Amino acid sequence: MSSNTKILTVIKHIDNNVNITDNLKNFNANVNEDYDFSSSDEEDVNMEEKDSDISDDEDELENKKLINQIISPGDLVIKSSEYMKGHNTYTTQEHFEKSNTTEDGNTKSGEEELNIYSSTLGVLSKINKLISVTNINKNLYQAEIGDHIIGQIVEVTSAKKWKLNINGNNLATLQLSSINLPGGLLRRKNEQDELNMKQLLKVGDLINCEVQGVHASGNDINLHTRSLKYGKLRNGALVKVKMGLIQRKKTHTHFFNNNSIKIILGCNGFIWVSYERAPIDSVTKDKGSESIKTDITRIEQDTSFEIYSDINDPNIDLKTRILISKYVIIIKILAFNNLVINEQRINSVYELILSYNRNSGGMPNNSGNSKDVLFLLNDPEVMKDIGYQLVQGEKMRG
Amino acid sequence: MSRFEFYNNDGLRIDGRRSNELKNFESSITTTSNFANFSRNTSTNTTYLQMGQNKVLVTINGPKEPTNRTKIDSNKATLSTNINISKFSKVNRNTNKSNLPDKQTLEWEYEITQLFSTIVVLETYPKSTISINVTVLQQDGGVLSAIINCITIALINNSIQIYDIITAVSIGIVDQKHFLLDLNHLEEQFLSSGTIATVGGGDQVSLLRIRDKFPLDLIEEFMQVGLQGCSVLKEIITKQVKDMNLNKLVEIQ
Repeated sequence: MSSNTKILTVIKHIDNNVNITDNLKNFNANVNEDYDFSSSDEEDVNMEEKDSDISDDEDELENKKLINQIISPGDLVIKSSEYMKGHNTYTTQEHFEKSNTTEDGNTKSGEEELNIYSSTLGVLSKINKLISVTNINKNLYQAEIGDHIIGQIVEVTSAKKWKLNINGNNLATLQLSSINLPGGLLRRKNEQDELNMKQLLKVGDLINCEVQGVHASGNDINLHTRSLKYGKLRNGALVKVKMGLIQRKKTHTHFFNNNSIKIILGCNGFIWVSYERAPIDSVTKDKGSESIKTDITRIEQDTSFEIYSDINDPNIDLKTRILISKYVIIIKILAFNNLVINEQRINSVYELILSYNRNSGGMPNNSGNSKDVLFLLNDPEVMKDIGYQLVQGEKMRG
Repeated sequence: MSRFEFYNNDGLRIDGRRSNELKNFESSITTTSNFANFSRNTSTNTTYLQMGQNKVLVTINGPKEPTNRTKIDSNKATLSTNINISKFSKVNRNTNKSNLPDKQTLEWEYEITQLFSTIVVLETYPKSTISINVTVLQQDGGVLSAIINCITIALINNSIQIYDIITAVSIGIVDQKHFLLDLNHLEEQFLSSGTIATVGGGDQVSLLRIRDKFPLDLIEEFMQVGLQGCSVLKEIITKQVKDMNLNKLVEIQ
């Protein structure tokens, strides 16, 4: 045992002649017990997840393999001068003058060795000669240019800026010049707009935006909403999930249920579920094709004023509200089971929920009301069960 | 000879340990709002540590933008510690009616912020604050060491970058020749004791706090006992932290 060498007996028992080796054995046993306790806890969790398909010994072996992959802070990752340090690593430069220590003059004198250490709990990732450690617990959002994210306004500053909470360690800024103002795209911003800033976007508003620039090593983030697909959010609900459950993809807006439900998967772990009837609406408004120019400007004005309104659409009835909350619960189920959220999975969970309704319909104390069914889905065990079924279904398909 | 017997003829202490044995060390990660956030491991998680009968809870808030603008440091993050020792944590209930922290707690807060501002890689979080909130639910000797160990585990669980793991143990001296590792509350009452914290379980001492007077020639052995305890404790902590976060590794792959 490696710990055997480290532990030395500390007390010299003068009165009692206790065996040193005996003492050591006891100490080791104590350490092992501690370790066994925690590992047995972990096994239980895994057993539940895998439902005892695999025998315990194989499970333990697998766990040990995985544990060996994890690097803890302070561990020496690599000792070489060839590699570069990436994220979550730090270096200490040690100057070895081997000619001083060894009398043989065959080694290079004054050789620089670069020790790369890890600074978080994570897994090693190596790209060519760049060494970095990827975090196991991804808590905070690290912005990259072009990310589609959702932010919440925290304050309106005097310097033509809004400050947004985007789940990072610093607040992001949205400048007045980088939003679409009501009254057309091409318009100069004047002082009146500056005074009206609080009317456009208030504290607490949710905004669908894109990262325009990242400065000062990811701590100074600029956003913009200069596109029709971005802007203020309404008619829906926000879900916050853990970082890492949403992966960067080409598109982050998805439509479900015959294009009636729109889900925006923000890169920063904020998800917006809303009701939208956009495609039909634009067709009905474009009736008069004769006086196009005036109409277009009018529509632009209407829509852009609509963009910043606070009032939800009055046409949303109870059915669509229930539909929205259904999709919210789907996302919650996926997040609860720590599964990566994407379009396919949301669809498959929706199907699972429909069949789950039927299953519970056979139960005696079910009134058949859809509200009750939604309430039933909020149960952690049901969530776990659905997640398990989903994983099994995905395994079957391969 | 002291009037209190610290160990019997077999070399066992009051609680059945040997002189160089640590207390049982169990740590776990819980989330403050396990179900409300619908994600089992959200950014606000609590770390619980039970070291013997010491029960400590640590939550770490941040790194985030400071509410007070004057506190901004444009180059690095600022650390702040808040220790709350509950009045029922000791054998005798604390009868002090004021809610203000006592002198010792304030001292500990200062020491811990000093200690961890050297360990956390503050340069990676400019213009932000990291606040550490400690709640002591039960005390059983060597509370400071339990707090330091718990904060280390909490920092790792919150994926805040640190240079190395810090471990701390308490040590007591019996009759100016024997040393006891990781004291319980009875031993701490009667013995002259101290706390030692090391970086990465090595020889680098980052904190040495001695409560009482004792001869200077004992300090070398005193520190050696502490270093050995810390190196063992470091292995335990790394094992437990890895086990705690194992299920998240499965998701990555």
